[in-house]
Formats: sequence, C-alpha cells, structure tokens
Amino acid sequence: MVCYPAGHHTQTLDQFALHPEFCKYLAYILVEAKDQSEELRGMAGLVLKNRVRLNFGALDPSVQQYVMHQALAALADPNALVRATAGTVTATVATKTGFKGWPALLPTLLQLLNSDNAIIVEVQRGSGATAVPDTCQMGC
Amino acid sequence: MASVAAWTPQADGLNQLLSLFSQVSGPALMGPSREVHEQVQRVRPSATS
Repeated sequence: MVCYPAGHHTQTLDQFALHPEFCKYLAYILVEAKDQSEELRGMAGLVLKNRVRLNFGALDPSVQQYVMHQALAALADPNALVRATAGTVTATVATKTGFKGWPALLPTLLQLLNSDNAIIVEVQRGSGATAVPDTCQMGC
Repeated sequence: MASVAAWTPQADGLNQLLSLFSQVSGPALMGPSREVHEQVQRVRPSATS
C-alpha cells in the first residue's frame, strides 16, 4: 500500500508502485521534468522519499543507484522546492545506506558547500545537518 | 556514473504518472500533496497562502 493522494488516485498510484522501476520514474520527474510545475516535481520527490523510507532495501540495485545519483543531482537544482525535496530524499537514503554504502555522498555535499551559489550552500547545510546525525546514529 | 544517469523512462508510463500527479494538487488533499504544500510554504512563504 502506498499511502498518498486521496481518493481513487491512491489506487492508481498503488498500481504504478508495482512497476519495478517506479522509483526511477519518480526520481526522473523530480530531477529531469523541468517543464513540469515545481509542486508536481516536489510531489514526485516526496512520494519517492516515502518509498525509499519504506522499501529502499528491496529495490533493485540499479534502481537504488539511479535514485542516489539523481538525488545528489537535484541538490543543485535551480528550483528551491526541488532542492529542498532532494535534501529530504538524500537524508532518507543516507539513513538506509550509511556513508559506507554511499561513497559519493560526503564528497558531493562538501563540493556543494564550496559552491559559489549561496542558496545551494544553505540547502546543503540543511540536508547535511539532517543526513549526517541520522546516518551516524546508524553507525555511519 | 554517466550510465546511471542515462536511463530514459518509457513515454507512456511517464505521461500517465505525470497526468496522475497533475490531477492531485492543492492543500485540501491528504498525503504528499499536503506535504508538498507545507514544504512550499517553508521554502517560499508567500507562494501559496
């Protein structure tokens, strides 16, 4: 059961969720669907975050890798809502993988912290502040 | 990593999912749409009030 939009949309989303690459589609919409509204992209990201929270370990490794790659890519998105949503996805994935299971995480966060873009740096402080303690509580 | 990012969704599935999400919007709905609304409010307080 995927507990998301109300009414008949829930049933439809449950049907989508049966697709083995469902999370890839969600990550694609969050990062690549730049012609869509920020609310729609953010919604895809939050559904992705919830799927990751409940089911990350059961995903195919290729799906996991794609989600991890796209989550990091979205941290530098020009849209603030997409960046913020990517931060929650990143933090959620990090609690599942730990730093050892996601070698690209810390280098990417550090690289973004050194960015000239003050907005990106601010978002990275937020997502890093969430991801690092949560991940370290799990033994890093 | 380039091969990871090179994945392309099937157009039919992508369009169906986009259509579904586009039908779900506004703070009155439950679930992630409300969560998105709240996140929009945090990121951009004047955007949806």
